[in-house]
Amino acid sequence: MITYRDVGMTYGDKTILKNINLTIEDGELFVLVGPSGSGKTTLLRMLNQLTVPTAGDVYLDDRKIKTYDVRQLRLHMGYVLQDSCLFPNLTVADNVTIQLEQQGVGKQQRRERAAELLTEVDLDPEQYADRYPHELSGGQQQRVALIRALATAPKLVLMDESFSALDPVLRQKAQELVLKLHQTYRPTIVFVTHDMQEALRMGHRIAVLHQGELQQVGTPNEILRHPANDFIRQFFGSRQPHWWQLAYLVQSGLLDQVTVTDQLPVLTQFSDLITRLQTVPQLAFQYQGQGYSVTREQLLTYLGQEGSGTDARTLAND
Amino acid sequence: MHALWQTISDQRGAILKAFLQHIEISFIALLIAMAIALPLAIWLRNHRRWGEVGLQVAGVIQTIPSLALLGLMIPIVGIGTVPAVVALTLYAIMPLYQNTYAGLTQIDPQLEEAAVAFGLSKWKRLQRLEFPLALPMIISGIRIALVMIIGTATLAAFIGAGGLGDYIMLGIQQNNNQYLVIGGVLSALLALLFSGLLKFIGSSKRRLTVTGVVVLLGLVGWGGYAGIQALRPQPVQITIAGKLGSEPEILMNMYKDLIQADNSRAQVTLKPNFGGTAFVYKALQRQQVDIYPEFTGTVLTSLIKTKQQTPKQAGAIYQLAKRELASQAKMSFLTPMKYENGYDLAVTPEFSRKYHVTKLSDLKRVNDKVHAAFDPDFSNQPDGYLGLQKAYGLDFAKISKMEPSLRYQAIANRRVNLVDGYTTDPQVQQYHLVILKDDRHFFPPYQGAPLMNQSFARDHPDVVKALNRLGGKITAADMRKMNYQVAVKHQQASTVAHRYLVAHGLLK
Repeated sequence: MITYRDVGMTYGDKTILKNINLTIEDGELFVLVGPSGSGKTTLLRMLNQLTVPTAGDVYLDDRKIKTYDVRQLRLHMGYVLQDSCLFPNLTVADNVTIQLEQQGVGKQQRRERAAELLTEVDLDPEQYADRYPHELSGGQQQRVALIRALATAPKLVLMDESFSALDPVLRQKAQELVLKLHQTYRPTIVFVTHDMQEALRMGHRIAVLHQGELQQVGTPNEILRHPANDFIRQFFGSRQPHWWQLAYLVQSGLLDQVTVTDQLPVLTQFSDLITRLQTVPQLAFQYQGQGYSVTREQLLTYLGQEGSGTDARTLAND
Repeated sequence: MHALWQTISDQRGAILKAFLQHIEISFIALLIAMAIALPLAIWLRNHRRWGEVGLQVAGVIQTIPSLALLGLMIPIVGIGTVPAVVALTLYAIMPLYQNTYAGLTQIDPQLEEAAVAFGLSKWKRLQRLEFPLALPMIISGIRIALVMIIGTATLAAFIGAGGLGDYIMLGIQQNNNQYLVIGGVLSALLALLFSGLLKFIGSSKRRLTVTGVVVLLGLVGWGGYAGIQALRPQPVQITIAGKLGSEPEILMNMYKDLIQADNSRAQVTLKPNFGGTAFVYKALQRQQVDIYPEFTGTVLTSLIKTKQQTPKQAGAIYQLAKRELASQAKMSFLTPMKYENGYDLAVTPEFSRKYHVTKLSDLKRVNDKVHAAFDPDFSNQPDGYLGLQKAYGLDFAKISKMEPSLRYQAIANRRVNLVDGYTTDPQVQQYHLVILKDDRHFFPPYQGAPLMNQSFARDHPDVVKALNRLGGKITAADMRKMNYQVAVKHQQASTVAHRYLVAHGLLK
């Protein structure tokens, strides 16, 4: 069981996380979701102590995590990063069993374990065990990274935006694979993503973070049915991309904030903005009581990103 | 070309020895440099600020000219193989450190973090991730270092470390292109060979492992051998050095033969072409060498201070030199050989015939016809041209100063018609020059004799006795002939020396 108790994190005068209280049960597949900069990765990295909180404490099985031997802790924990991060100089089998090697497990046993896991993710050990990472496709690399995290049969596996570099098809397959492996081995998985679709699909429970604060914790159903606030409603609210809505543009962070005054025109529609920017190169306006400024270039950049087919939510959240 | 093959086949033993010595020096330096630079880079990679300082320091060492560095080493570690290895090591550290450091610090930080997050120990990360990833850079560093060492090691000959540089130095000194070619080409080949070999080895993991094992076994074997050598009872060790040129080398070989004839357990090391006067004399003072052949004239002009006028008699000059060496430097100057060596002036045979010049006093008549080539020392010294002008009323039309070896080239090509030289120079015979008789006895007659520290003489009376048998032996004609055989005909100095000793009943 993992417990965050009054956890906070400041970096200089920047507050990354504040007042986090959260419990993750054993065997759960727990998702931390939120837009970029919400502090979800920081929260995850406190579990393997790549980051140490500046306030509060994280407990693992009712014991402060900082009192554990950090190397032993990490050695018995799975970790899957955004890029597969396979060691390019080691074979697939050596990559998969690198933690076992550090634990002092014999060579024969390591080979058997690698073969077993490779079979589990449909990679023929005969064919793949002795290859090098650069000889694999991106999807295969990510599968190897996945079983590398399971090699020691850890009780806890951390996954940090593990599939964000994969295309939608591969991504879905990888998600299914994680669900299947979770069924088989039953580790606690803490899964970080900025993709709410992924969160809804994967999580037993989901914790939503925004600007360093915990917005809501609950099952996907609870969150969809009873969103705790407007942010959550907006984040999960629409299944359709609505980049043409002003709320999304404002949320994208592309715009410069300005002090709001009465002189600023009040805009409510995206189309108003486009009309006005046809006559002036730069425009300051107010929206929902906030002042913003936008140039024609900024708008074109925004539209250009949308035009290239990027998921609007990705843009809005990153 | 034929002469080159002749030289190679005559001296193949010596060439091979120099070649192996070159490899030995280079590899010892490389291994030591690796033992220093690699751990240093590994250690400093996580202390970037100090790592950068390390780069700067290594860079500064690199900019010191190699000869200067070798010179700087002499007061600290002396002469011979040790300072050469130290200097070469210092040079090799730079590329090794730089490449290792760069290789280690350029690893993707995300991979490093992943390794940390997996709970891998520092050692495991180094062994499984960092070192293998940096390996190509490290190997290229080793290649650069090795090629540089092999090249720079040719300069090590200047401080008596031996190797292929001996041939280059000899070639320059004796104006012998064959030696230059042998020394230069072999060291270049060596560099190419090892560079290629390392490239081959570095291209596969398996070869790398095999090489590592071979090097390790080699080191163990070498260490064991050296250990056994060190444990064995040491025979008497005597080091004989000599200045540049064929004459000292012939004399040294005679010393060696004579010493070993009396004491077969004596182990005599020869260091021919060891360096200039000041250098060899310093080495003797530091007891880095035990004996070297020196001339009475040089003793008086360069090694000791005396207010006394240089006597005109060879015997008196020797007595003065011996006395002053004993009192000023605590050195023993043994019985001199017969031949008198000193400056002379030589002219072309045509010049001699045309102007009827056979003595120095004849030159006054033809002052305006003389174009002389002088050793820079000779032209400026009171016992050289300056004194000669007064004694014989000379004032030559034209004087060119040039390096000793070039001066004979100049007269051989008839660019000049008069040169200074030494009585026993083989070039006189080689170019059929005419030596002018010193009819007013201006040049002091100098004699050669073995020079050693008094302490050494006390401890080795048998050596003194053996060397004194050469006293009063060897005429100027003998010496000139032997010089000719070695310097011009490229015979081995040891053969020539031995032949003389046997022919004159000094050896059985």
